[in-house]
Amino acid sequence: MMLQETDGERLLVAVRRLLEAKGIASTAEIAERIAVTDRASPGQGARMVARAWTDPDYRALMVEDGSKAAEMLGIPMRGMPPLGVLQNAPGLHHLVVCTLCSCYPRAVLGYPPYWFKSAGYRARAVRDPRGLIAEWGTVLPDDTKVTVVDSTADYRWMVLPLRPPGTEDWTETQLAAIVREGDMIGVTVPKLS
Amino acid sequence: MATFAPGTRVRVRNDWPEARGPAHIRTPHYVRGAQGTVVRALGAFKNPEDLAFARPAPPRALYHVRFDPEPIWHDGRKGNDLLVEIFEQWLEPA
Amino acid sequence: MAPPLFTTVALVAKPEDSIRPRRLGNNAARDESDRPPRAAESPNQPTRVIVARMDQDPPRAHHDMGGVPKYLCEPVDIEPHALTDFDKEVDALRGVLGAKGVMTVDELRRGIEAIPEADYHRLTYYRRWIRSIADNLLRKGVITEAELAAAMEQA
Repeated sequence: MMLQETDGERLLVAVRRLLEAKGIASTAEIAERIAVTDRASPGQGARMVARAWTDPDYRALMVEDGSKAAEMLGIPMRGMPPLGVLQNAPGLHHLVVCTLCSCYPRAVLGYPPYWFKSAGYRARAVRDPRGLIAEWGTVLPDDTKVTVVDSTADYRWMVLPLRPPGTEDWTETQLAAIVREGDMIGVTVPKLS
Repeated sequence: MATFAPGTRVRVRNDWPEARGPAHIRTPHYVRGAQGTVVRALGAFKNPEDLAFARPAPPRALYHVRFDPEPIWHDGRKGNDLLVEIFEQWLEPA
Repeated sequence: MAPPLFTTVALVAKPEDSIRPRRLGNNAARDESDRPPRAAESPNQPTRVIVARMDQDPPRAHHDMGGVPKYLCEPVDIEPHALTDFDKEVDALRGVLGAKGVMTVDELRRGIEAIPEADYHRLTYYRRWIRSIADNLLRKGVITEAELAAAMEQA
């Protein structure tokens, strides 16, 4: 049978029915999986960033062992790919991409956004990162180095962005509230809203 | 296989298994044949090239390798670099 | 000074040197200027005739998209797009099959990469996934073509 069926919905229904009948994947298991995945969101990563901004020991742990740092904040990492954390610094900015597919730090950021999976993003990130992030209005100083990280294997990468000035006496909760999904991939930088 | 210490200059093999039959390769086209510098070892992981075909998949050492983009793209853009996870079997000393 | 644009070049090279095809797997404008001819390191090294690199397009797989010229002008839609129920169910199905050891994420990727190029770009993201999932289940004999055809009829 040629799988040229473009009606993905019908194919999903058919596959699910067969797998349920064979006891391989039930409706309940799929629903449970959706519920678990829905619990991951950029808010998880934002909590890690806010903690790192206020606690140098946590920052060091995050950079050394991202998975352990996530678990410390109650983010489930068992069975998940190892988390790598790319630490921005004055003069150094990181941008994450998966040119081959869409590998994304889902455990701490949730589902990858539409743009991350697009042909334009996957092609442009490794070749013209500044032109690409300009699509988000992000402009970096001329002397900032941009390191583009292509997620080609088992690690999943997130960016630990720079803390914006003017937040020196903010609480972790206040800090986490300004860290967006794009800040942890590198297409944007955290701003005071 | 040799272990590559951080700072070692390496070359990515200019090999194209895709040309020889069905393959699943996680070494992007743009680094094949390129020279880079090992940043650090990332651990050992089962070879995805084998996992993709449900073959026995021995763990292989994975490295983070830094590449200068200019010899790759010839675009004249400055101030960027590339970090790519590359498995040991794709690397040789430069 | 730019080297001349040769169509065929005879160079003296070490035997183990391989002809290095350009890494841009696309018929972008050919420019020979990145590999000026090198002198032989020993007069006893054999001479090799190196064919024009424009005749050696590296066989880049179509999903291997980093820096590929034809996508560099693609605009990026930066708006958030909520996942549909279909998307989430396909995503979860793959996860359940992975957790049960039926199908790995590597097999999912291989199946997606095997989708012919035109379909790969025409199909939306999770439609590529469900096609790969079905392909893998068929290959592994978890489901048969007859079963799938019958189930599709009812769907």
